Amino acid sequence: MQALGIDLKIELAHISLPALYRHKPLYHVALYHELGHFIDTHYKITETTLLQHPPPTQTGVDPAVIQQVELRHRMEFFADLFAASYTGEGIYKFLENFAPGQPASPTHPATDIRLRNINKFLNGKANNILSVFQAALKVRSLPELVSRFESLDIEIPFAEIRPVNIVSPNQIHGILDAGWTFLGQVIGNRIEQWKDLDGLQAERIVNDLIEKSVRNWMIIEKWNNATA
Amino acid sequence: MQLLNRDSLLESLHSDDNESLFLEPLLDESQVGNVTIDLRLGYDFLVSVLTRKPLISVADNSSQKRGIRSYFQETRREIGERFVLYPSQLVVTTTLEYLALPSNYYVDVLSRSSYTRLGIHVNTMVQPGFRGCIPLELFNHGNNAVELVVGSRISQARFFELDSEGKYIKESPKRKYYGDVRPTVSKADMDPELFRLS
Repeated sequence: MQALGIDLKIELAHISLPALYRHKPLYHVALYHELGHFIDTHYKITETTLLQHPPPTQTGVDPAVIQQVELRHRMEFFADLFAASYTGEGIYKFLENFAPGQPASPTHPATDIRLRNINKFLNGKANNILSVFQAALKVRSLPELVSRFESLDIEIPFAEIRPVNIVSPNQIHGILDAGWTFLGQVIGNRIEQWKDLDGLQAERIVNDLIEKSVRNWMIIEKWNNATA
Repeated sequence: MQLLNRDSLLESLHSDDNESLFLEPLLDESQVGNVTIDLRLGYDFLVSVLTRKPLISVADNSSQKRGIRSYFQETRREIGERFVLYPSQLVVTTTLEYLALPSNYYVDVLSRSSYTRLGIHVNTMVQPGFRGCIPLELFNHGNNAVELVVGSRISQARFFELDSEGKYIKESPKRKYYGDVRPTVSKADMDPELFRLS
């Protein structure tokens, strides 16, 4: 930006998502995961955990390889927990649907373990990897990983195929948690008013209702803040 | 069939009943007039553009078929931003408001007189039970480009209460424009009679 003569006071992060998903906010939970990577890299959180809790050595395996694989896996765990702190069940259900049963690789831990960590975090249960991250965050004087979204009840308006009235910024995150739960109910044929819609229509409309709910909040904010 | 007046419209808008009128965001209650509700210009636009193809075919089943969507370019503005509608240009957009219509209401949407006088005509009908942002097909019939403002009151809707109910989605589960929150191009090529006629 310096070449353009623009002096930015903030750091820019460029995160991309396939254009296919631009109108499908339920799948934007993946962006929270990617943002988690940015936060992690920027503040060297996972690197700190390796200093505090180095991985055990294994006979016959290059320690550098162990270190690298552990780093990668912990980075994924951190990004998952970061996403879960904003999208709740959203990131859990996204992973469950998009990478079911994936075994561990050098870059990513097995999906089952990732889901277990997220689930424990959301339910407030003891979780080793979470404790490791909380300790690193404390050392770096950063906020803890905690739930940062506000739940909202979308079932009544969405059942009637109406957007929900969002009243706070934290509900913008919370609607992703609620949206995934509602989509599960629709696919399970548990919402009477949606039974005549096929699966693709239902998935599109749930996403559209979320988008319109968020948009309405943005419009009302801008309208209320405008001076006549 | 009865044309609803301001009192009836406000009563239905303020009701918590699932079978009441839902229109959000209603930024200013003064949008509700004596027998109409003013509706605002939305923020997503599909602009008709020239392509290498000489025409849009709604009944072309060949492998050379080009989707109707490819004849339009998508663009978005934020509320308060400008959108220029050029002479003889077709632009598909929606109202800013999301409408959930009771199963015994029918709606006519027309351009407001102030915009009709600029050469912009809107004429849309909305079926009982409709859900979504109301589609607006804008066309500039004048000789000058017109600069529109997203969020401005461009159209007005007349609401009629019917003696009978229509089940919008139950009557036709394959409704083509149900629950849309952004402009959608014509799906005329999905009309079943075209297959019979071909």
